[in-house]
Amino acid sequence: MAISFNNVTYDKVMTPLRDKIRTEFKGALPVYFDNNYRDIGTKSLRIYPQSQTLVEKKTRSYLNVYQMEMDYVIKTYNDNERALDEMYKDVSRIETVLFNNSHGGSTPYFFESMPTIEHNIDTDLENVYVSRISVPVLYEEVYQSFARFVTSDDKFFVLSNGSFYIVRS
Amino acid sequence: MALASTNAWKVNVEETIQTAIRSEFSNALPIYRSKKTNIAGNQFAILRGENSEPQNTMYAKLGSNYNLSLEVYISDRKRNDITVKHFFKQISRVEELFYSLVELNPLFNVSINSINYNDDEDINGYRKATFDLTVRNIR
Repeated sequence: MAISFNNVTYDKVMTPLRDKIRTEFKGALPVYFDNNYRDIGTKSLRIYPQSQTLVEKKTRSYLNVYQMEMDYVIKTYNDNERALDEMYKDVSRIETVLFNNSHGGSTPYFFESMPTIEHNIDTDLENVYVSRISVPVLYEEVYQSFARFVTSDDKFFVLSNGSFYIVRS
Repeated sequence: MALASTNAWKVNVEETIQTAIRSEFSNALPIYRSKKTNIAGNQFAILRGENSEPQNTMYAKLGSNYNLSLEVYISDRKRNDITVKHFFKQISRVEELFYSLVELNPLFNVSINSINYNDDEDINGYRKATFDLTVRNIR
């Protein structure tokens, strides 16, 4: 029996963040999901979760915080200040988009705190400026709950092959 | 006369997890227990026991917290949004499986403390998620 489940990390956390940034930049800033950099365009934004951590486990749900990492990359062959200004401008804009969407509306995520920014981080890429935007996102997922079928004399209903019936509680 | 004891690590903890994953994924996600990482297909999982902590109760039952790691590897050579989505779908399925089915055993309680998605020891061409699990079990 296959369980029913949501693709929580991708559909409830990563995609809403990406879509809000895409809507704001309208194609001027390619946004993609990966844990490695892709060489696309003059500037791009890479989104990938670092980790997720359990905040609270309840009877029928679990609350996780997803540490989302966004790396803004802009190419600069002359190491000039124009690229630097462009990076600061775009990152501020991304920060504002995130600030204005700190909860997801129909997708009920919430930021645990506002984004933090690191500029000019070291990477193994050459001729680029990179800024890292980190934002912790809270999301609570309700899961299916099952229980063993117990007979009136308090015994489990076990089949001859050793498996047992389970029922949705 | 030798004492009667339960091999809790194997029977109560690790085999429960293995059985649950095999029941849900069938052959699509082979799971094995090993110290080493051996590639076992396009997607596979490795279960490793880390340590256990006794609950220090002095009753007839012995309760412990068992800490384990579960590494899930999924091949991704195309590296696009569809393959990323597939990766996280499988991870969510494993996560949901633990909470929905593994706790069927009344003496078994599992928490996924964290899942780490970035690791320096990646196998080339595979995405990796490392589950940090704590299982509370009484024997």
